[in-house]
Amino acid sequence: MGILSPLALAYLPLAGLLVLIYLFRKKHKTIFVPSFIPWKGLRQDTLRSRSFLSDALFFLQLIALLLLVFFLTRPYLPSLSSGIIGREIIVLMDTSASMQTREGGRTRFELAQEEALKLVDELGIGDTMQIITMHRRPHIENEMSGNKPELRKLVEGLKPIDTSSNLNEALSLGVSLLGHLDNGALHVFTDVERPGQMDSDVRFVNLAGSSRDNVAITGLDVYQDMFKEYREREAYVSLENFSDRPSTVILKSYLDEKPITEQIIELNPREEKTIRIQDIKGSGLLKVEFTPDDALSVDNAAYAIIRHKKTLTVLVVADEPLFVEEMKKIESATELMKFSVIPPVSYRPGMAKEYDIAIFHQYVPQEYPDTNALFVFPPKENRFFPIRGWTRGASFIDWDSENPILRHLDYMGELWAYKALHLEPNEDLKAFIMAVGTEEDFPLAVSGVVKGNRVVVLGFDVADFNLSKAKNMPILIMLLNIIQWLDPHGAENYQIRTGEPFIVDLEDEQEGDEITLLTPEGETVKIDPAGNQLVITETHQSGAYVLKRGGDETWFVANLFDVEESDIGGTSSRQGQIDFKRAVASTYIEEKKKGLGRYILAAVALLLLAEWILYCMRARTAVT
Amino acid sequence: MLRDIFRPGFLRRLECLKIDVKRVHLSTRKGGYEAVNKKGTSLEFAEYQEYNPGDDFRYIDWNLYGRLDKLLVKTFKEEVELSVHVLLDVSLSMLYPEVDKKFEYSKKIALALAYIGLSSQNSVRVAAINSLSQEGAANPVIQTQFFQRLNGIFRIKDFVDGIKPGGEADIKGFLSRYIYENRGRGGSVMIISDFMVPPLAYKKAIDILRFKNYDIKIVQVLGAEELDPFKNLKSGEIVDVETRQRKVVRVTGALKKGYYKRLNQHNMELRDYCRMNRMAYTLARTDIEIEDLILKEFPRMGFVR
Repeated sequence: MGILSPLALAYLPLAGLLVLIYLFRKKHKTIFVPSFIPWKGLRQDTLRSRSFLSDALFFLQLIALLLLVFFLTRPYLPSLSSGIIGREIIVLMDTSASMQTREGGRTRFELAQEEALKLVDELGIGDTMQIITMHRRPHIENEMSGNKPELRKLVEGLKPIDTSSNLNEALSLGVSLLGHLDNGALHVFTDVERPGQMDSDVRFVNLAGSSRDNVAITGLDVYQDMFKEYREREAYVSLENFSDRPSTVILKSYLDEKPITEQIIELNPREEKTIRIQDIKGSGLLKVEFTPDDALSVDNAAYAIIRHKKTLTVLVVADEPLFVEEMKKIESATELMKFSVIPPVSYRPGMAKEYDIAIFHQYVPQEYPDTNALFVFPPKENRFFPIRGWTRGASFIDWDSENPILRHLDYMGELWAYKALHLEPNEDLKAFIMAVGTEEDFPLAVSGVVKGNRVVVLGFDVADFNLSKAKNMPILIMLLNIIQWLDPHGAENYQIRTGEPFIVDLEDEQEGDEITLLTPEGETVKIDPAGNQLVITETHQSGAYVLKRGGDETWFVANLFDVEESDIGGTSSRQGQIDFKRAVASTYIEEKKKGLGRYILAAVALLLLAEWILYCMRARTAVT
Repeated sequence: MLRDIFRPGFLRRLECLKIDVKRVHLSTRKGGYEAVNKKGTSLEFAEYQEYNPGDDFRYIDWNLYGRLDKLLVKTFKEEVELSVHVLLDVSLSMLYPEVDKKFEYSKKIALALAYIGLSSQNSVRVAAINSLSQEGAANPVIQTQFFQRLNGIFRIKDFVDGIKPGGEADIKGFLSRYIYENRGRGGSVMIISDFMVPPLAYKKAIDILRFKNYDIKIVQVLGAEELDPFKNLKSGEIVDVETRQRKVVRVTGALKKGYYKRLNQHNMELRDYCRMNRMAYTLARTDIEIEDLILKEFPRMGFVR
C-alpha cells in the first residue's frame, strides 16, 4: 500500500485537538456545596461524568478522524498491468464541391475515400480513428473508434457536397484535437494546396490531379425591380474558363424548364464573359446551364427566381394639390403601383396597415402608422420627429451615396430647397442628406427603422419641385428609390450560395403549420422553426428548394458561385508531408494504483452512524 | 464596633430581651440569676419530691408524712446563675454557598444572643465548633471566657471576627470536649449551625448535652441558594466542600424534586428531633433580616422572651 499525498499527514495533529476538546469538555462547571446530604441518592449524569479514557464515543471519533486523514493521503493498492498503446488517427476528409472533380474515371473524393479506407484497414489492435469532414464548416463525424466495420461504413457513406471549403478552420480543429492525443496522427485528404509548414504528425495528401478542364458559371444576376414588367427583366450570366485551353460551350436558359435562349459561347483560357439573357416572359425558376460536361459538373448550372408580379399599394395622405399631382404622375408612369389618396382629415389610426406603404405630406398622425412610411415635410409640432427649426433656401451639401435611397444619384449638389426643416437624427433615424442655409449645415433627410417599420423623413417639400423637369430628375429618382426601399417585398432575397442558411420570417398565423423542405435531389426534410424564424441550413446542394408551409410555397435557389472551387487546377501535387512520422503502436507496462478512498469514506460513515446510535442510547439512559 | 453590625435601636431592643430557659440548671457561679426548679433556698415553693438519703431532712413535710405515710421533701426555686453557651459552627460548609453568607449571618446571631445574655447579666461564653485536626486528633476547644458584663461583647466580637471557618464539622467530638472543659457549668446551650451533618451525628452530639441537662436551643442557618440551588445551575460537578465528594449532575425536573425532598426531609428530621426533646428550634434563612429573626422569630420559638 502507498499514499499519494503524504502532506495530508499534517492533519494528524487534529487528533490532539480532539483530545483537547474532550479534556475541555471534561472541565465541568464546579459547584461547591456545603454538604452532599441533599444530593445523596440523586442520579449521577453518567453520560457527562464518564471517565475520559473509557469513553467509546471519543474512540469512535478518533478513529473516524484518523480515517479521514488517511483518506486525505489518498492511499492506494499498487498493481501492475500491461497493454498496448494504440494509434489515434484523425482523418480530415475534404467534402467540398471541387472534390467532385473527375480525375480519370474517378472523382477526387473517391480517391480520398480509398486512402481513408486503406487507413481503416491498417488499424491494428488498440488503434482508433476519428473522421472529420470539411466543407464550409468542419464536422466531426464520429467519436474516436477502433471498430473497423463501422469506420468503413462511415467512410463509404460520405459524399461530397456543392459547397466551398474552409481548410484553415478544419485544420485548426484537427490539430487542436491532435494536441490532446498521446500517439496521434492527422491525415488530411483534400485538393487544396497545403498551407505552409505542418507539424510532423500531420500527413497532408493533395488529391488534385491533372484535371484542369473546367468552365464554370460564376454568377447569375436578374434585374427585376418593381418598375419593370417581366418583358423588361434581364438576367446576366458570368462564365469563366479555368482550363489552360480554349473552350466552347452551348449556354441554354430555361424558365420553369421551358427553353428561353440558347447561345454558343467561346472562351479563351482563363477568360470570363458575361452573357445577357432577355425575353423573360414571366415569373418562375430560371435555370441556366451549358454543355458539354467537363471535369466538374456542379458549376455547370445556375438558378434564379423570377419574382411574381405584385402590385404595390400606396396610401397617400395629403391635401396639397401639387403634391398629389406629382404622386399621380409617378403612379401613371409605372404599372405595378396603386395609389390611394386621402386628405389628412380622413385618416384614421390603423388605416395604414392595409397598405404596403404610407406617404404622409405635411402631416404626422397621432399614432405611429403600422407600415413602412414616408413623411414629407412634416409639421413642426409632431409626436415623433423633433424639428429644431427651418431655413428658407437651403442647398444640398452632402449625402450618403451608399444609402440605397440615393442609388443612381451620383451628384445632388445642384439641388436647392425652398424651405428646409432642420431634422434631428437619433439612434433609429440616420441622416442621409445634409443641407446648408445661411449658417450651419443640418440634416435634411433621415431614414431608418422605427418600431419594426422602415421610415423616411424628408425635410423639404417635394411639391416644390416639378418632377417633370429634367433638373428635378434626382428628386424623382430619389422618390422611386424611397418607394423601392419601403416596399416590404423588395428586400426578399431568394438566392443564396450553397451552404449558406436561408432565413424566413414566420408570421403568427403560420405557427403550428407543418413545414417541409423539398431539396434539389427530391428529398423532403421536415423543418422545425427557431422562434419566429425559419433557419434552413440544409442547403448543401445547388439547385432549387421548395419550402412548404400550409398551403404556401416559397422557392429559393442555392448556387456554388465559388471561383476557388471551380478553379480545380491549382498547384496540385500528391506529395504529402515530408517529415511525417507515422504513428506506431507500442506495448506498455504500467503500475496501476487502486484507490482506497471510497472504502475509507464508507468506513467513516459507518463509524459516524455507530457513534450516533451510541450517543442516542446514552442520552436516553441519562434521561431515564 | 458593634454598631457596625447592629443598629443602635436594635441593640436597645436586644437589651430588653432575656434568654428563655426551660430546664433546671446546675450552677454554682454567681452572676445573673434565674429562678429554676432546683432544690433551692428561695422562698418560692417549687414542688414536692420524694426524700432521698442525703436530702436536708429539715425540708421533710411531716404533715404529709402523717397523712400519706410517705417522706416528701419540699423544694424551693433557687435563684441560680444562668450560663449561656453560644456554640458557633465554623466548619467549611458555613462558607458555602458563598452568596448565602451563612457564616456572617451566624456570627450576627451569635453576637445578638451573646448581647442578650450579657445584658441580662448572664454568664456568656462563645465557642467555635471546630473540627478534628488534620491528623485526626482532637483540636483544643476555641472559646471565650465567660463574660458577665455587657462590655464583654466587644471581646466576644473580636473572637468571632477572628474565626476562620475550615474543616469538617465534628459536633459530637467537640461537644464532648466542650462539656468536659465546662463541667459543672450547666445552662443554656445555643448551637448555631447549618446542621449539614448526618442526623445520627448531630443527634448523638446533642444527646450528650441533653444528658447533662442543658437547656438546648438549635438555630439552623441556611441560605436561599442552598435551599434552591438550581437557578443558575443546569449541569456541573457538585463538590462537597468538607468531604470533597464529587458528583456530576444534570439538572432535570426529577433531580430538582429529589433535592428538595431530601433537604426538606433532613430539616424536618432535625426539627422533629428538637420538638420531641423539648428543644427550641428555628430555621434561620439568611435572606431574612437579622432583626426580624431575633426580635420576631426567636421570641416566638422560645429562644428569648
